[in-house]
Amino acid sequence: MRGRTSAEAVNSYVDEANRLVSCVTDSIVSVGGGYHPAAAPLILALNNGIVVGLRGASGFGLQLQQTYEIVEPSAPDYLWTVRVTGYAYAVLDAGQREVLTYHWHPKGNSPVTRPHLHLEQGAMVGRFEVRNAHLPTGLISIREFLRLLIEELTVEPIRSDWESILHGEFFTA
Amino acid sequence: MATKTSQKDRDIRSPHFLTEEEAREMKENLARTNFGMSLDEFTVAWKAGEFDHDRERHHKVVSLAMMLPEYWED
Repeated sequence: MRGRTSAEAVNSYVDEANRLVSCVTDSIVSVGGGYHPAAAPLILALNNGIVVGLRGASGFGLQLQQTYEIVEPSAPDYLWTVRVTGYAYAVLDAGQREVLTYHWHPKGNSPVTRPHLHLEQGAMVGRFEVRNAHLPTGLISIREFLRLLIEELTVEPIRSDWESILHGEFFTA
Repeated sequence: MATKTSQKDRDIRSPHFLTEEEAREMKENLARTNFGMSLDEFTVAWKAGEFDHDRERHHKVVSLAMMLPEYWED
């Protein structure tokens, strides 16, 4: 997301993320860190990181967060940019067991720093090797993840205009 | 796909910009809820690698660790 000021770039990013999640929940996203570039990436989290329940027969829940950084323009005519630096998305079953988790944690203690998918306990995968695997993916946007929930995982949208909101492929939020 | 609600443009509640105190509270709450410890205790345990082989709580660990400034240090 870009803007003429850092505030404009951050607001575009946060508003867009909030609009996307409004397709499946009334909960909102929260962000910490304000409008200024910081030493460490900033956090965007749905419902303060707490799982939200979703509509649909599956009884799934959702946990979603991204980290992002604010990038100053490198030349006077360039724009401020918000760049996503990591994410953790989870689908949980009605018993709060994780089913799918999409991760991109480029730092930290894990040796796997590229984007990947975990098939968790709630996916009920029998093979130990698969259950413990980091299955490689491309970067997964909030948009793509929410579309997966609705189009494949039987989550019911709460907006009738969800298709137009979730349309698009670019990796922004 | 049909929706149960017929509202086309539901009002979208504004996102919330957390104060420093609220951000700290969010992380503290996640540490206590998911790990039964304070945020400071979680940070120490995470830095010491105590969760490195905790496959069951991997998502919870990653989610909270990414919120720590220490996570992003080289």
